[in-house]
This record gives sequence, C-alpha cells and structure tokens, in this order.
Amino acid sequence: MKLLLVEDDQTTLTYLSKGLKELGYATDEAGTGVDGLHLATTGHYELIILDRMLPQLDGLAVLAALRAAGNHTPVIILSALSHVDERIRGLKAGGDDYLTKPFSFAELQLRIENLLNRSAGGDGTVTTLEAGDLRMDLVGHRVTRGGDAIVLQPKEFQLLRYLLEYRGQVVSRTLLFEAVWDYHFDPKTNVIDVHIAKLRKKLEAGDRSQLIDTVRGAGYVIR
Amino acid sequence: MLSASSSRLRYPRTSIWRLTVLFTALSLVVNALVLGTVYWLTVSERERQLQHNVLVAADTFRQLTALGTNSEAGLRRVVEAHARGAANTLLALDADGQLVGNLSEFPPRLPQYPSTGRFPVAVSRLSGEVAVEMARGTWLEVGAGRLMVAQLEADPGDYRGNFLLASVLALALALLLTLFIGYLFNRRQVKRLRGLSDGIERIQQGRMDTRLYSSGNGDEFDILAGQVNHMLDEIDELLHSVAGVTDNIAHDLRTPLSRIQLRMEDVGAALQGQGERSHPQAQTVAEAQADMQQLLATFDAMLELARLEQGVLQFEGEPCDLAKISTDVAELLGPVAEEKDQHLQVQVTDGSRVTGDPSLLFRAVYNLLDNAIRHAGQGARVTLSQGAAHITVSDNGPGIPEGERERVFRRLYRLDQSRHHSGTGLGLSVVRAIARLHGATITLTDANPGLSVTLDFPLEDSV
Repeated sequence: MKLLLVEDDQTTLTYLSKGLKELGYATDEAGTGVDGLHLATTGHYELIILDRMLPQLDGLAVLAALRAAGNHTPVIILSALSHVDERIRGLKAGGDDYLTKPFSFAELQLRIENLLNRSAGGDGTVTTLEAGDLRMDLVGHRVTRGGDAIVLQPKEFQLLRYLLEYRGQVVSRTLLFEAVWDYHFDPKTNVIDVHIAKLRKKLEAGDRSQLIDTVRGAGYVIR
Repeated sequence: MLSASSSRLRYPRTSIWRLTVLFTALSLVVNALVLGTVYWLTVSERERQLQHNVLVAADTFRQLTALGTNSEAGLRRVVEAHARGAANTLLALDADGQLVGNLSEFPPRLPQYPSTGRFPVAVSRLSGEVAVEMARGTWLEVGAGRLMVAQLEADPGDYRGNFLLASVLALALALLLTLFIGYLFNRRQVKRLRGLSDGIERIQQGRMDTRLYSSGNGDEFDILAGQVNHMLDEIDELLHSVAGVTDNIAHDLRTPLSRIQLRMEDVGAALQGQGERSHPQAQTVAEAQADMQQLLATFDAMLELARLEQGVLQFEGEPCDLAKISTDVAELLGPVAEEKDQHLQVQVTDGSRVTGDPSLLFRAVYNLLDNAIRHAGQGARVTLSQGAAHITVSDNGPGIPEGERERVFRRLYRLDQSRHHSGTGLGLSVVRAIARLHGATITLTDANPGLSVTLDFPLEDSV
C-alpha cells in the first residue's frame, strides 16, 4: 500500500516516513503544495497525509483542487491550527480526518488504519465482539466474562465496544473521547483514564486477567 | 456582564426631550411678553387717546367761558346743542341747581380738570334695551356752575375680553405646536440614536462585522457613525492581523513540538523494542510526554481564548440541546467526582434549545463542572442544574471571596490557595468568552457556603 506524505517540515517528514515504513507502508514524499498536488494527481495512492500550511500552495487549496478533479483518495489533514472553525473548514474542503500538531504517531497510525478500513468497505454487520473470555452482545447490550454477566453504564459499554472494534490497535484518549462523547474538544486531562480505570475494575474484578493494556504516552489497547 | 438592556433609550429621559420642554417654556414666556407689549400699545393707547379727547373738549369749554363773551344762557344753549348731536360725548352743566345736557345726574366723585376719571352710565340703545357703559370724563368750574365733559369708552370690556381670549388661545396653540414638533424631533433623533445604540450592542456581543447605519445626509449622527465605523474597520484589521500572528505563532511553535513528540515516541518505541518493558528511561520518556501534554493544554487554551475573545472564531449556529450537553458533561466527569467521594447531583430539564456550537458549549459546561470538582474538596456536594435557558454549577466548597470574583476571569489568575491545583488558569476566561459568543451572561454568586456559577442564555424567541 502506498501513501503520499505532503509536509514542509523535513524532520517531521523523515519521522513519519520512517514510522510508516516500519509498519509496512510505501511512501512518496513532497515538501510543497505544488509538488504534492502533482504527485497526487499523477500517482495512485491509498491515502494522502496533507499538511495544512504549505509553501507555494496551501494545503486546503491542494485538497480543493484534488476533489475538484474527481480524486477521492482519503485525506488526513495535519494542522498547526487547532481551532474548531479550522477543523470544520478542513473537513468541509474534503478532508476525511483532521489531526492537530503536535500529534502522536500512534494516533496517526490509528487514523490511517481507520480510513483504510472504511474505504475498503468495513466489515459489514457485527452483532458480537470477543476478546479471550469476554463476550459483548451488541444487540442485547450484554457483556459477559467467562459466562458471568457484567453490568456496565452506557458510556462504559461504548468505551469497551470501541476498544474491541479496534482490537490489537492502540486507541488514544482523544479518539476514545470523540468516539464516545461526539464533541470536538480535547479535555487534555486524565478524565478518560478515570473512566478506563472504572471499566477495568468491573472487567477485571476478582482474580480475572488484565484485559485492557495501557500504552504509555499513546493510549489503550485490548490485545 | 453585559447590562445593555437596562440602559436602553427611554423618552422622558432623553436630553432632546428635556430641551424640548425647556424650549416650550421659553417660547411661552416670549409670547406672553409680546402679547403684553401689544396690549399695552393698543388698549392703553386707546384709553390715553380718549383721555386726551376729553381734556381737549374740556379745555375748549374752559377757554370759551374764560373769554367771558358768552352769557350763562349762551353757554347753556351751546351745551344743549352739543349734547343733542353727539353720540359718544356726554355733557352736563349744573348751574343754580339746574341740570342741562344729556345726563340725568351729575356724576359724583369725578375728579376736577385736568384729572379724569371713569364712571358708569346707563345708555338706552336703539332697540330700547338699557345697558351700562363706562365713560371717562372730568369737570371744571364755569361761571355760575360746574360743567362735566366725558366720552363713552367704545366697548372697552368686550375689547379687553377678546384680547385676553385671543392671547390665551395663541399661547395654548404655541404650547401644543412646540410640544408636538418637539415630540416629532425627539422621535426622529431617538430613532437614529437607537439605531446607533443597537449597533453598538451587537458589537459588544462580539459581532465585529457590524457597522453603524449612516443616513447619507452628512448630519452629526452620520459623522459620529462614520467615525465609529472607521474605528471598527481599524480594530477589525488589527484583530485579523492578530489572528494571523497567533496562527503564525501556532505554526512556528507546533512544528518543533511535533518533532519533539515524534522523537520521544521514537525513543520510547526503541526502548520497548529492547524487550525491557519497565526500562527506567521509558518511564522518563513517558513523564516527558505527560509534561508536554500539560504544556500543550495551556498553549491550546491560550490560542483558543485569544480567538474566542477577538470574536474571530465564526461558527454556524445550530440548535443545541442544553439537557444533552449537561448530561454528557456529568457522565464524563461523574467518575472524577466519585474518586473524590463527592456527591454529584444533576438536574436537567428537557426541551431547551439554544443556538450555538455544541462543542464550545460542552467545553464551557465541562470547565465549570471541572472547576467545581477540582476546588470543592474531598466529600463536597456538587450540583449541575439546567433549566430552559440557564445552566448553574454550584458546590459547597470554599467558594470565592466577593472581592476576588471579577478577577477570576483574568487570564492565568488563580486564587492563592489553588496554586497547587492542576489546571491552566484559563478555564473561566474560556467559559466567559464562549458565553459571550452565545449572547449569554455568566454570574458568580455565593452558594452559602461555596460558589455558584450561572450561565444565562438569551431566550430563543427573543433573538
């Protein structure tokens, strides 16, 4: 799978391409908007990572030109502008996701995987999710572990569901918050940690094994 | 904190209306003076004329008798002849107890020549009616007796009455006219002023694209509006350049921050790759990353606040459900309150719609509840209650002394005792900026004990 990186900061570009290559992606790189637009229209990419502020041609202008030309490659916008209105402008211009600098690579990786799964058509209808001895019934809203029912609050249920849907991937706190609460806002405190701790207490009560792992500086994962 | 509604323009209190009343009073005084002068010049002039006529007539008779050429009988004939032919002249000669002339009685208490006096006379009109009229006259010694000379005043009562009536009518008309014209003036000026005042109120609410109305005829209001608009243009330009500067700062600082973040992650991943999960350096890297999160929180809040306060942030309002937002915030922060053994009570009322940005409103309520939970202390009672157009967060913690309440809105301001609490020190400033964008007011009150913070939103139908 080939990705296009358009980013004017050489250091960021190097780290991104290095990280993506380690994950098994091939990358093409561009340092200006003009080069980026040229590569995007001539080559074939699974996904484009586009910086918002670029020399010569602004990131949003590149995106607009791309969409006007009928190119529907998923685009993740990287931006130093974190404001709600900037985010909305980015998504309106045709961006599929918007990530504010500085971002964690783990978060970017997760969003890339999300978008690639989405453009691949998703996995259809799922009614139960599993991980080890944990079973989650999405229709009946029941959670059991080793056959014992576990009572969860609605938000706890949604948190667990999200972690299970992205089983094996590290999910950041911001992503969890946005998925479960649906507001564009980063609480930037340990508030999500408190929710996960509560969820853990219920899931891992007694001498049950640890289910949710903490990845330092990145987020949570169910392996 | 806006109290624009209490300072709306009201009729009896405008300076124009006071001037109108003053002007009306002044014009009444001037009119009264003019009428007084006219009265003096006409009515009293007539009386002086009459007196003059009487004296001339009396003088003629005096000279006639002084010549001595006429006998007493001759004088009597002259008087009788004059009295018979005159319509307005009254003559009476009282000699040897005999009265000659056109009066039946010699008027008593009449001053002697050259003074004159007034006295009533019964006059029989042609129609046969008898009326009382006033006459002015005098008397003088002639030979054997007294001669009275007088003239009837021409309808003096009627004339004076008409004059007074006309004066009162004229003054009343002048009063009504000045008041009416004053009212029209006032209405026009107040309308213009109200237009200006409404425009300024919108600007106060952060709608910086508002411009004041100018009628185009170059009057003082147009000049004022033009000056204010010019000022607004300059402020607008300044704000946009400030917004540009903050965007550049954001970009210039975020690029190195991005590199640090990626490098630290790289180091962290390399350390984990060595298979030592509890590597001491991994712990250090994680702590450095946590520090950076703290740094970013303040950085983001300051930039966002700058934009919110400048009113640069433009959003398309959408209907927001205050009950849902309140419930969501409570669900997010509930476990945090639980950790502190606090009792979080939530009261919501369905069906309240406010136009705005749900994420911004969520953040405002989040900041308020987060503040309360953070500062109220272990085991406190925290209440989040939401009504048709308000959201109140109160706690029974230490509260804020009255003198400090306005200061807590300042950027980075913290009460001394809360320095050790985590947080950016920007929470309430952000809440106030968001409230302003939504036309809401924020009020801090004493919860006895503790603090109560209320956001009051404008009612939907009044927008």
